Amino acid sequence: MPAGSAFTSNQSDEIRHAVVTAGQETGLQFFVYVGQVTGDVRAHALRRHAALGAVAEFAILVLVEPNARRVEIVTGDTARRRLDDRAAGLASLAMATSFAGGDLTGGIVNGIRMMAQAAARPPVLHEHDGD
Amino acid sequence: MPGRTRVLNVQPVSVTVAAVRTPRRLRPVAAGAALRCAAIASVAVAALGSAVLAAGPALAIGERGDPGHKLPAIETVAIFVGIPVGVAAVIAFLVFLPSIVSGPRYRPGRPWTATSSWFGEPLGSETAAASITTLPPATLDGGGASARW
Repeated sequence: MPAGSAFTSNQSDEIRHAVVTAGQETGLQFFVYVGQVTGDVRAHALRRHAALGAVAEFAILVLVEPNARRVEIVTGDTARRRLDDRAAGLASLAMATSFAGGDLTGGIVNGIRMMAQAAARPPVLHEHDGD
Repeated sequence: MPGRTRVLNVQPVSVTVAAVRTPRRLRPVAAGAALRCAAIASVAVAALGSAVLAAGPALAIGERGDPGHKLPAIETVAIFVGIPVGVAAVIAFLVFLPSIVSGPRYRPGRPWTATSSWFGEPLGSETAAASITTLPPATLDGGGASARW
C-alpha cells in the first residue's frame, strides 16, 4: 500500500461524524487514532490518553494498529463509570471483527456507535459538580 | 407404428391394449418432445438458412471485378491483435478504476504504511504522548479493553 492517508475524505467525514455524534450523545469525548505504533501498543495507547491532559478523565480513546492487528480502547477515570470494561470489550471485539474483514471505517464507526449506546447519558435527576 | 401393424395384420387385441395404455401416459411427453423437435428444427433451419442466404452474395466475387488489395502484415496484426488487446486493456482499466480512485485500502495481512490519522478534538500530538513518563490518575484509574484480529 503506498503512503498516504488511509481514508478517503468521505470515510474521514464518516468517522468524524460518528466521533462528534457519540460525544454529543454521551457527554464524553471520543478520540480515534489509526496508525503505526512502535513498542507496546497498550502502553502507547495509555500514554496517548494521558497526553490529552485535562479531558483525559472524560476521554475514550480508540487506538487502531493495523500492523500489529490490535485495537485498544482506553477509558478515563470518569468515562469508565459510564462505559465499563465489559462494554468496551464488546465494542473492541466488534471492531476487530470488522477490521479482520478489511473494513476499517465501518469497524470504527460501528464500535463508536456501540460505545455511545452503552454510555448513553443516564437520566439526570439533579446535576452537581463532581462526586 | 400403427400403419405397420395394420399392414401386417397383427392381432387386434394387442393393438387395442396398446391403444388403451398409451394415450394418457404418452400424450404430454409426446407433445413436449414434438415441441422440442420443432424448436430445434426451426433454430437449425434459421441458422443454416441465414448462412446459405449470406453465402450467395459473399461468394459473388468478380461480379464487380477487383476484390481489393491484400492486407499488409502490419495492418493484419493491428486489426487482429491490436484491437482485441486494446479492448482487453480498456476493460481491465475499467475494472481497476474504482480502486485507483478510492486510493490505498487496508487489507488484513498486508503491511500498513499509510500516514496515521487522528479524529477528535483536541488533536493529540505524538511528541506530547512520547514525553509522558508517569500516567496521571485520570488514565490510571480508567479502564478499557483490547482486541486483536
